[in-house]
Amino acid sequence: MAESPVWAVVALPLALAALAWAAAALDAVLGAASAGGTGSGPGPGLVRACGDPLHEAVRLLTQQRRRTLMADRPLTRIGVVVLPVAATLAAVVVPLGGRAVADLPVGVVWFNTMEVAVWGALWLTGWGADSAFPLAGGYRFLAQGMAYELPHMFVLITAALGAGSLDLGEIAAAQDGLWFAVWMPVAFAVYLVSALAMAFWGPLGHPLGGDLAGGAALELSGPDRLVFLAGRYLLLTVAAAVAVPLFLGGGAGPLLPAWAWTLVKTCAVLGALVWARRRFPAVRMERFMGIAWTVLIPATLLQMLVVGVVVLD
Amino acid sequence: MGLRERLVRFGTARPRPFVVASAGGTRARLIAEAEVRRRGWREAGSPAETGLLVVCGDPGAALAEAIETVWRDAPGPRARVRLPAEASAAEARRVLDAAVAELADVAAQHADAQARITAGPWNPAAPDDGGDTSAMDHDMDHGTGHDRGHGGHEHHMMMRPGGLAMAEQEDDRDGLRLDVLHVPFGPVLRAWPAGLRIDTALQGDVVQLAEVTAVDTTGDAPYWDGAGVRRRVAGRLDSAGRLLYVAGWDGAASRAALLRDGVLDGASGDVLGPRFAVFARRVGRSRTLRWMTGGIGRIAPEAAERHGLAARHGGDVAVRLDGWLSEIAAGLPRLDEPASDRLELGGESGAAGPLAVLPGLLEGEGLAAARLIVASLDPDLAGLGRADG
Amino acid sequence: MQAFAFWVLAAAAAGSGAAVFVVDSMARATFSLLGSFLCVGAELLLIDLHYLGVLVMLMMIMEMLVMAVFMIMYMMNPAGLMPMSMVHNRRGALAISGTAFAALAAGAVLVPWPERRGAPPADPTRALGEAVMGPKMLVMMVIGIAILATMIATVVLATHRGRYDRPGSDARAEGGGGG
Repeated sequence: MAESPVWAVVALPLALAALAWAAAALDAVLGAASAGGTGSGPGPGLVRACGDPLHEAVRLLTQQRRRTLMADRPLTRIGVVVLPVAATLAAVVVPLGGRAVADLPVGVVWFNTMEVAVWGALWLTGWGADSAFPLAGGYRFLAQGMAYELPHMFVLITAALGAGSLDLGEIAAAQDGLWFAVWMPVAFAVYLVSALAMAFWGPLGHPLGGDLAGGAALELSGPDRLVFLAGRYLLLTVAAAVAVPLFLGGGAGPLLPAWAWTLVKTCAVLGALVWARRRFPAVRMERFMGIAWTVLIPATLLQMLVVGVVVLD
Repeated sequence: MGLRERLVRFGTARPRPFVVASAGGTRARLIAEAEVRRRGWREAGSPAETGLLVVCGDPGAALAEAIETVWRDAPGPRARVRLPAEASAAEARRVLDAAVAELADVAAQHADAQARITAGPWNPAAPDDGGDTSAMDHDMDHGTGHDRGHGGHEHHMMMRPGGLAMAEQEDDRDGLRLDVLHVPFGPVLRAWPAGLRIDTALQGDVVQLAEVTAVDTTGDAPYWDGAGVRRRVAGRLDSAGRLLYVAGWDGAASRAALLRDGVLDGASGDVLGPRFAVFARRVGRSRTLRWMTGGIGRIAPEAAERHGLAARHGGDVAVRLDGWLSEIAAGLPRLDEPASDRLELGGESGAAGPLAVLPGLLEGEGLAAARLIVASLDPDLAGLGRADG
Repeated sequence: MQAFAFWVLAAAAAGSGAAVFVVDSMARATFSLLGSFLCVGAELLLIDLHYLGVLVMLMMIMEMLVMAVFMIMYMMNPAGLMPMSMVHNRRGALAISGTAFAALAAGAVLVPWPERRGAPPADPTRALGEAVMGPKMLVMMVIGIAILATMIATVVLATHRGRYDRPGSDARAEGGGGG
């Protein structure tokens, strides 16, 4: 594949940010809908809720930083900043309309690495505040990592195996005619679960659970909180965007150009992920771990076996 | 008006209030929550993330102190408003309007923030000493922990530099010797029974010891026990909504709150029935919820009887939630009848029973399960006499 | 450009490696070490060993965080700011590490490095796989899965209860208000 143009380097973060913004707005609208769709001010409640992310961002930008006694501030800051950075770096290997910003031949492993960096980010955020609830939240995420990571890795390997390449662009190209989501349904389903888990969102958002008054993010306020929450939406966006070349045929589709199909498919997956938050209660790792290791791992291994047999033929 | 003023005004136009209620402040809390929703605001999950604290009811000395502790570190721009127990909806509107104005007063907020930067963060130990860290510069290779939760109540001997207490070590039930943290839950916590404080000793996130305290209860009649099925149905919806919030299901929790306010506003059972049916079907059929709430907080029928608990308290968390849902379903068609204790919607049997079983139920549970158990019993402390902690 | 990046990363790797012994909390030491490994991973990327480089980063992040789990098992000390020295047996450690460093550095300088023969392979990842596993690829893959299955099965069989299962929970719940 050819080198991507310079404008793509600028366009990628902007597109990511726009999608993350849309995800936040969608979440606000769904939240307002479940609260009855009311709200005073201009326009009906649901339309008004679209503006929530902007108000919230400005509110956090102008908010004072909360300080806790004996906090490890450098570590907290590193944790908070790593979230959006890792999400953006993970996105550079996603092919947009046939080419990725960084044409790394091991794109799948790179994405995996950046997503694992989130483990560190969340743990540091939880640990650094010197407060009991965030600490428990940070550790919840490590437990969650232990649960979702192995099935997640097997799923990534399965898609790579199907295409015979670790390059996301080539994986997308290999799905000529038949999407991997169609003939690897187990892998696709597990990928969606792990996408929720890596962005600690919705049913797998227990590390930030309301039962811990906000968990790992409890002590964050002001710009720190803004960066942290933005990083989470970016992660969700990237997780949705990677599903497209892995399982949904990348930019392939009739009429529209490749980049437009990539965008449409990403939005669809992202919308489903955001919606899952309203649909399911939180899943606790003490119970999920058993399923993850005794059901998800064998299921993904079997899926990999099937794909391996098909590929060998 | 400068840029900063504009931004602050824009950001604080939709603040995230944190609502905290005293044991007798249930009515005021409901008014505040309804007003918050009417404005399309979203409630904050913790007082740490917001500058707007709405205190409902009339906190006594202990609760006031806990609120003060939280307030001291609330990030600016900040405003604290009070809604007395007898407040009206109009008063809630006025109070929140005043709060928005206060939040947008950039000059005053800036001065307040400056003052607190100079003062430094909250310190549980005497705030005016604790500067001498060099004396405690240990060269040690084993763990030390400490004690810091919300509500501010600390009991310790050894001190870390800076004045924070250190954790002691204790034998763990898995045969390890682990650090113990003493963490208070409540009374300033979202979706938590008003006026309840549970002091826990944690090893990891497993509760080793739980001690229950009622904070500033005044002996008012419990709000939910008021005459009429309507009030009791609303009470069950309130409890269910809080349990769903603790279970991490925000969508279902806000639907429950919406139904609750519909019931309290005098809507008829015919209107609410179908809406509740949709809600109950979704919640009742959620396999995930059943998977997460089954098997925790189990109370055997004999134990329930012995502690003076109503029969509906028996079973585990999932069973108690189902009980609420069927009570609500039974109550909706006859909202305007007077309540009688013969019916399923019996009044609270008092908070004493739930408070007595709580420590035994919580010990050995993880934090998340412990919160679910508390929410599934949802003791209304308003009925207790002055059993001050 | 590449040489410059090499030296910057090398200095950062050595620097954050040294920081492990300077900082005064276990969390900071853990993440200094991680920083050092990440720099080493980036060095591998510089010589176009993409797979190895990214894999080093991936594995090291996971390993350091698993280490953090053990750290907290014994120490519930959020932020870990009870200052504690990361150095034990200072003199012996210095002697051992000094000797090891001298030996390795001497090796790097003194060993007659072979001249490059041929060109790097088109796909280093594939070449690496074939070099490591050769014709035994299928056997290795099967054994890998078998080891994983054995590990999971052993853990499942060995633990009669998890951390959150309460021994005799029913009896205690019936006891109610016991302390």
